[in-house]
Amino acid sequence: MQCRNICEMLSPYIDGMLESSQVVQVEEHIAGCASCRLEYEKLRAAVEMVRGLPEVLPPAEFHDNLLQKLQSLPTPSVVGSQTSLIYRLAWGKWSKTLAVAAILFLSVGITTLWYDKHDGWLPGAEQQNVSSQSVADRGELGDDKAVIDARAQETVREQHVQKVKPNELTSSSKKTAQEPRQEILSTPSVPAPEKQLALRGAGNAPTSAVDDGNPDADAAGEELVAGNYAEPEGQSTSGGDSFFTMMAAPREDLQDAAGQVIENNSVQAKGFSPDSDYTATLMVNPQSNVKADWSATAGRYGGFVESGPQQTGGYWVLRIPIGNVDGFLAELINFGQAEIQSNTRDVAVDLQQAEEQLNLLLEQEKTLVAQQRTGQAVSEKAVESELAALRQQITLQQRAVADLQMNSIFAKINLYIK
Amino acid sequence: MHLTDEVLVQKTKKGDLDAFDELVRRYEGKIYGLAYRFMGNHADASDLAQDTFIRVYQALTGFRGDAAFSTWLYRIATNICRDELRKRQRRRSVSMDEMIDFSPTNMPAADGSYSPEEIVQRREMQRQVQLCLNELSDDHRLILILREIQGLSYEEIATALQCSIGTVKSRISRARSALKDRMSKQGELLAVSQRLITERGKNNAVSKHL
Repeated sequence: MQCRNICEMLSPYIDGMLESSQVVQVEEHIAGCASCRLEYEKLRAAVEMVRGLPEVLPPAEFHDNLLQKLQSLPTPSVVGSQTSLIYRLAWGKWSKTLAVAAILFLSVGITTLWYDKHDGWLPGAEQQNVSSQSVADRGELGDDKAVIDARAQETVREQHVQKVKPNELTSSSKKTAQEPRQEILSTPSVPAPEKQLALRGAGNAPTSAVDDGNPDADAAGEELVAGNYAEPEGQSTSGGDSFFTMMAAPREDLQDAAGQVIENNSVQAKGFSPDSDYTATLMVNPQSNVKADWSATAGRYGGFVESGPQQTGGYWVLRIPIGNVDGFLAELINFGQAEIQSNTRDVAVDLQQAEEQLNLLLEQEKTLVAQQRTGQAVSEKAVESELAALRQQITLQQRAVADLQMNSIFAKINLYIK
Repeated sequence: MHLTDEVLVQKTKKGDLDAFDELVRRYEGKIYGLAYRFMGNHADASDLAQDTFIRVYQALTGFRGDAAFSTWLYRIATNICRDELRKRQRRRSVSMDEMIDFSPTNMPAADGSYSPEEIVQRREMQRQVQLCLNELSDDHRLILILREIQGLSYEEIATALQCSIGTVKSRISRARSALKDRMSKQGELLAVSQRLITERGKNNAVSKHL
């Protein structure tokens, strides 16, 4: 069999669209022919990268805008949108991010330098830890609940304004009576890898921040893949089962994790998840000839530019890991005089609610799947489409949860340059 | 009580906008995602996804149910996307680079298990993948979105694009090959994932090639 013929079969082979005799031909050939094997692996890698792209959701206002348009169309129709409670909950949690994300457009290139220098990428190496870790985190709960409830009443945002002159900016902040900020900065409820990063955070060149620490993850990644790369997949696969699915653990895992969550009553042990926003106004020193490259600066502190002035109407939105925020803010004074406001609120309650909501949905999914299996369902088609709708809600809700968790890892910094 | 797409279509035809609202809820994520990946930015994705549902609504009386509602919906969406791009290319040559968002997606990357470093890397990598997609021809980009991202079967794609399964098969094959070439040019991008997919020891061949 010619190599060229084999190459033409590789794509359908990936999709499981070959006859079994052809499958044998392909597998025998790539087992013995290095160049065709390489070709197959590259093709497969390209496919997996695209499949790993996260789902993009419409912004919160999309649905309502569309509905308004439809109502204004000449077809006679009844107005009304009876939104289900579940949907509203899921949507509500998510809409904040969407509102933010909807204004993200172009900006300076981010971390290209990082990327070039970077020779290891860590896909999902830690995914397998998710369930066990989150279970552990949620361990003791019961008694903490009162505390969480008490905090819920404080969920109102607190604002602190500091005038900061060069050299005066330190990690200490103004203390107010029942003010959680100090606690947040000193004990961020973030996973261990974050702390390593915080250690090497300040002062490190971006390249060094990237170069170390990766071999392990690389190895883990390889292990993870070893068993699954050569298999063609069934036609029904939509790609969700691959480790390349960068954003989410495979559904199985999620369900397992969720199963545990339900048993443990789904409240976070720490009960405190800070969500920190900073607004910094920088009066650039006219004498200073330091030119600010915010991508590079954010990169040095392990963060990134979320959006630039072009789409926000004049300010930068940066995301910096919470542990590195102080270092980053301190660096601002290199550029001039900075005025910084911080908003911190505890999103533990939001997170808890979001997780409970997710558990509810997963429970419903389980019930439906069970019905489907035992054939109890009145109409198979109806169950199928109900399941599809439910899974969409689950996706939304998983993102809501992930988003809240993201906010507790990265602080958001709105940077105005004057 | 949960209703099938077909029932909702019937109700919509009788003037029940709530029924159509439900259909929109079911598919807006998919259609928006399709338009986003095709155009590369949220502004266009919003417009085209909206146009799609409006056209679907207006054309629904003519929908006879030969194909599934979802496939029919995809057909309209893909036509709208392609028409839009054609229109623009006639008006003036817009490079896809101008259109692409800086931030590829509404991105709550964390699920609690990722370090900030990984999140940053993922973001960049996803942006690179989208850039590669945008460099492909419209037909290639479209078919890859339908197959890899939306997860449609060859049959569904054939119905949506109104072509034969043979065409779908060969176009997917060519599109993947083109994508692979783009990614090889992006260098690192593929090399990184390559290393993860390839067993140890085959790496030499890869880096030589790149």
